[in-house]
Amino acid sequence: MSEVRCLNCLKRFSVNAGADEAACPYCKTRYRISWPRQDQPKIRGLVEKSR
Amino acid sequence: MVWKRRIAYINLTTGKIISKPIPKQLRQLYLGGRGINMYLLYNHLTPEVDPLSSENILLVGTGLLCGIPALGSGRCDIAAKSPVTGAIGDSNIGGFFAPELRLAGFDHLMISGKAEKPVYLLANDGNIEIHDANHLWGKDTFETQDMIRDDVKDEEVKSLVIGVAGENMVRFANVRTGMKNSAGRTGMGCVMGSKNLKAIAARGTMDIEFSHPDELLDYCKQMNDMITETRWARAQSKWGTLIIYSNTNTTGLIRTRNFQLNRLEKGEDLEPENMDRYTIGMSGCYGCSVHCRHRYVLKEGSYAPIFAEGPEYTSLGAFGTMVDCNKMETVLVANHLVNKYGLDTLETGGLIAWAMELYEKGIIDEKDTAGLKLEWGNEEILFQLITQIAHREGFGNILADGFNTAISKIGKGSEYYAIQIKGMSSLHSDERPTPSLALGICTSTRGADHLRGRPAIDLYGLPQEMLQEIYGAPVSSDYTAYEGKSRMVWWQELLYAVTDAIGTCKFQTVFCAVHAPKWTEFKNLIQLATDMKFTESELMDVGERIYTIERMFNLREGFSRKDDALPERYFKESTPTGLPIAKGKKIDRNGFEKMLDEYYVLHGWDHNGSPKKETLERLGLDKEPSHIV
Repeated sequence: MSEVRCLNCLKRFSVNAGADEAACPYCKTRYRISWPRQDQPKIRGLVEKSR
Repeated sequence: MVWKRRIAYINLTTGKIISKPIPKQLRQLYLGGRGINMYLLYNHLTPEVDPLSSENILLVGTGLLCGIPALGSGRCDIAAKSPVTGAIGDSNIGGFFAPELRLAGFDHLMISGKAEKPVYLLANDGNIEIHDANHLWGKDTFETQDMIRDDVKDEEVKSLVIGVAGENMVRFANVRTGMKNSAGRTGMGCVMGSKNLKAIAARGTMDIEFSHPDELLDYCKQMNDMITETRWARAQSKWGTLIIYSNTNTTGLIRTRNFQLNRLEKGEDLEPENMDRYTIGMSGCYGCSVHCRHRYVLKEGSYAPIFAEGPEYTSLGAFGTMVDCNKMETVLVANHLVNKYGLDTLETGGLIAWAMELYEKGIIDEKDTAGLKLEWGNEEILFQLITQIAHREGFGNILADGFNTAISKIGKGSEYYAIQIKGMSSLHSDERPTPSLALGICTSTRGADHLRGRPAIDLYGLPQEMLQEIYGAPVSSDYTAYEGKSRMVWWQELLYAVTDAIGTCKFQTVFCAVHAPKWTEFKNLIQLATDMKFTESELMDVGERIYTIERMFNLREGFSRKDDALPERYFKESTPTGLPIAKGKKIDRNGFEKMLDEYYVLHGWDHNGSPKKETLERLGLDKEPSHIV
């Protein structure tokens, strides 16, 4: 499990390994996720705006 | 030893070249790089000279730690009075030139006068020669470097060069080296062009001796581990500075359509992950363990084939969001064009986006633009304007003089739409939700800029205890707040001034990475490399001295508090989109002025931003100009 920082509420939350989407459990913002390294997720963009 | 490196005085009018040692006293006060350059500029430039006259001086300086195998220590500082702003002109460039200049025996060059015909300088093992450059005039920045290597018959020659933009004295022409590196800001390429100086080349085989080489090597290894363990460096080594786009465009912190929007809808193609389609590998500058530079190939399209390096986050904004182009390939072509011609990416993109908004609003029309329809998202118009600017053709000739002149020529309320401070455009970040970042672009001594004092880690919402530990006093964790933000900007200004003076990369200090080397590590590196001893507090004083002498230069040129001002749009227009944290935000005027007051107090400056007598005495600046060299 690795973490990213929510860009809206700035709280850290866990992302399942290899997941390509994740939602902030605090403010519910949904993100697309990419992985610059296997153990390091990164927010790529918003789910809502890209679909 | 570092102490053996000399300063060369080169008069292009007379052809006279002399060199002198750099006194240790000056090193203790200003270290090197930007620090000594700023001292020289204040001491040797006659006030109020025309930046394009032969009386302007051009300074080139390597950092004090140039050549250590860590932290991207190959940075070079280039300075002069800026033809963009009339204020401090100063720009920093990575790559491999600075170590080569140091190997050739020189740490600083002070170039005055104007050559009768195009020339280039060649520094080689303690000597400097002036060479004819007629055959290089008209060549682009890549060709020029190749031809100098052919001239000298040495593949290891490194050069600082200008392109046709510099030759044509486009006011924001840059200086380039290698495939990727640019001293982009404040028009230093224009100053070179005004002196008929096409390039400065260096080749050296003289040893650089450090005081405690074994311990220094061990410590450099620690520094490289320290930086490569940060999340920032790990992501940067995969996708470069493009990774910033994911955060800013998702949040709503990126200027779009000049200043009309704060995120690019349908901007997915600009996400860094899409560079994988074009990237053939990553490369780095001297002494760098991160390697943030994409090397890419563009095989199709009207400008193909292109083999280049970049783009940076700055390019995504300048040729993506700002002009509403949402294709990565557009950015890659534009990036290549500005690099080839030798133009500042930010100024070029900022001016074109401004012109597009003026066209949209009917302030200019096709009669003004010689038939060009400056429509948002039109990549061909973008490429045409870049080319026109570099060659001073058509409407590009108006933009080529920068905001100050273009505003006066166009008039009709165009100034309101110009996102510039002190006459220079800024990074395409939208600072309306972030007061600290807004303050930083205002107080920057070289005009609107993010690399002078940006507290980028403010965006992380770090715990207050951590912020207090870094900044030494309470700072709000909320990046939309105003409390403590002046302290962040002040502290970062001092840190970046010292970073530029020791010649390491800003991305390898506390810029975007929280747990990166800073004061303690810098003082240790300086001691191991040179035997000069500083406390952290003394090193901060060096940063204060550098920043204050820059301020003194600007005050002497007529700048004051009135110029530390945001464009009116920051106060009047709220951000229309983005995540809830960033949407509906504008800068509060009273909050901003209070931040500015606090910021002046932290520097020891008065209400108008003039250094107080006791500040000058504390920093030894009451003796300036002292002409130590």
